[in-house]
Amino acid sequence: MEDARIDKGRSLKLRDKLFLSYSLLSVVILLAAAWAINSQVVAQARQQVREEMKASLSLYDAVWEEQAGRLSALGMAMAGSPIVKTIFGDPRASRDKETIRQMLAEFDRRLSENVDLVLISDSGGGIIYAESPNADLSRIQELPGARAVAEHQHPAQSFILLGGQLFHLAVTPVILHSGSVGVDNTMAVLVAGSELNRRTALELKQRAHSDVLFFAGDRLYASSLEPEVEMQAAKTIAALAFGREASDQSAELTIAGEDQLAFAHQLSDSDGRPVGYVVVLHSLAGASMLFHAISSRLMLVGTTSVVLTLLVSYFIARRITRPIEFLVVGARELGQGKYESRIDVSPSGEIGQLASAFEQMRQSIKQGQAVLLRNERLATVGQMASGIIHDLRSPLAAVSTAADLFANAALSPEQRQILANSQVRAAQRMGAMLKELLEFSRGRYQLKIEEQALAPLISYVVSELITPEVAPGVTVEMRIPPELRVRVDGERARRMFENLLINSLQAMPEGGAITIRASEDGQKVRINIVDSGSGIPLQLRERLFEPFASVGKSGGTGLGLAIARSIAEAHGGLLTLVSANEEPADFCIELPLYFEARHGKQDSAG
Amino acid sequence: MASKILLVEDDPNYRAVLALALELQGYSVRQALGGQKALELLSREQPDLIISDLEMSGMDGRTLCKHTRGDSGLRNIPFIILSAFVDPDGSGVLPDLPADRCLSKQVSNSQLLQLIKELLDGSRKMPRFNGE
Repeated sequence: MEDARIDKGRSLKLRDKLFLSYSLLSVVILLAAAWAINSQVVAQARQQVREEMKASLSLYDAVWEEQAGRLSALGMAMAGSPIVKTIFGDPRASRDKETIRQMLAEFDRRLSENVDLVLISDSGGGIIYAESPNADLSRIQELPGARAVAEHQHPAQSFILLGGQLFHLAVTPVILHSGSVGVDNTMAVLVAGSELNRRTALELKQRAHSDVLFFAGDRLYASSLEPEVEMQAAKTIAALAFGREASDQSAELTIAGEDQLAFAHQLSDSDGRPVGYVVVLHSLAGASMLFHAISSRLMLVGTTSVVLTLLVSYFIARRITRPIEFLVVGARELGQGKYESRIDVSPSGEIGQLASAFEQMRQSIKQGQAVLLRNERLATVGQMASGIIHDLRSPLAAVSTAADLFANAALSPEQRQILANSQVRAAQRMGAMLKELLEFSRGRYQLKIEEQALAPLISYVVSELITPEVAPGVTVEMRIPPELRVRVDGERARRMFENLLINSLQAMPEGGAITIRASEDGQKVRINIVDSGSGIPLQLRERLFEPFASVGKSGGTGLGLAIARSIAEAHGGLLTLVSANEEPADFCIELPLYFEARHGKQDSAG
Repeated sequence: MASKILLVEDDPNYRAVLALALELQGYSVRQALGGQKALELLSREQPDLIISDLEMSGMDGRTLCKHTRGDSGLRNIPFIILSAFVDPDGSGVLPDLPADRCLSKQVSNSQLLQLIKELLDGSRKMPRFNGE
């Protein structure tokens, strides 16, 4: 409850603000850390895949080198053969296809392996012989690059699009050794080609464990992929337009629901112009598994950290704000005048220091309050004493004057009687004053509550108090419904009415009228006592119900109205002056209809 | 002829005793329980001396005293204030009170009678402005 009231009207508690800012900050830091770690790990994983791809590619290169080497060796062997020398060394020798085929048959065992194309040209590049089981070679007139190989007398390899097929060519010069250094002549150029077809692709895949695809422009020539995914892969890769750039390229793509890294390697002809490209696919499944494993672990660690951070920041925020809340409660209680409640905050830290300063302030206020109360009590005692002294002087003077007369004057029996009566009355009055004083100084009444009719109660007081001797010329009008009943301590209630009536009589020393009205008003009974006196002077109104406010008036004790009010309040009621300035006094008593005294049962003991 | 004294006091008990004490000295005493009643009596009959309480409901002693001092017919009548607010040593009354004497209610009977006698003697020797 107390906490709820602290926040009323404010948007957020300090504790919540601290908690939120701590949490926000730590969550942001954690997320940033997770992001950094994740991207680092992913980059690392990609890099690793790329390295693997490069390794695969160099494996392909090795395969091709091996094939080229084999072709070169064949070329050398052919160059050394007497038949070949006969055919190519002598310009007059027959070079018809049949002769050459017979010649080649000798090397057939070595040529047939993986060779899908055999070309032979003269040293100028002119085709002498062309043979391929699959490709249409009828339109080939010149072998590109053959002239350069013949000139440099050094084997080369290249790729070529020939008769609708993509070939890997090993170009080897057939050299006639003349015996003298530097005058060896190239008799012919031998070309062995291997078609880049499905067989080649599967062979490569078997050795490098990666799928390969051969492209020229947008067209797929062959691949190691299953036929059902081949089309889709071809489309996806063609869309990447690897063929546009001369250098090696890579890209990520998804084929058949699997993430792949595609690496494209250019295939060039003998002049270095791009003919097509080979694409190596490497599955990213391993990398993404690693990535997912790391991600989920990061997520777990992150979530745990966030929860822990939230808990810790909540407790830190609480630790910081708890003493402040204590302080707020303490300050409010101080504001309400409760100087007793200690502000109990551990004295460490700035808030602790504030709290102990506050506690010191509370103690000094409490002490000051005690001093103030003592001074006030002393002042009240002084005021009471002064009031008592003044009020006692009149009866005291009567007693002493009467005593003096008894001692020094010759008195008639009637005069003695008058003086004796005066002395008795004065003594009675002083006794009554002391009794009231004692009662008032006790402050608390022990009430014996009884339900009784109001009218007889007031009538009794009126008949006792207002007699022609005591109050000549005073008339009393009572307008009290006979059925009206009140729950009061009879004796105290009579005292209250008596004091109010005495007050009215004092206001009308030369006679007048008193009206007493009573009515039921909801849960209470309202009684008005109105006199025809001169009213309550303005300067007296404020302190009217304070003890000795009207000190010096004969006949009163200075306590009458104070006592009347305290009796009304002891009954759970009110006594107020309801008349305005200058108007005849109108005192109003309000008593609850169903009053139960708290001390009623203890009356006999008190 | 006995001197007439007007006694103004709102405590009936003390008034009765004091009146008896004065009558025993041969004075003729008129009694009033407040300032208003006193003025009524003064309009009908002039006393030789006035003794008045200070704090009374209705018109108090101070107002009564000032009133007599402002009336040419009553101005020279000796006025004694007899109040619980005057301390036995004579202090405790505002200096602007135009009474002849201010006495404490604790004054002894003989002192009071002595003072009354002095004031009455003194006023007899003084010229009266009202023609007597």
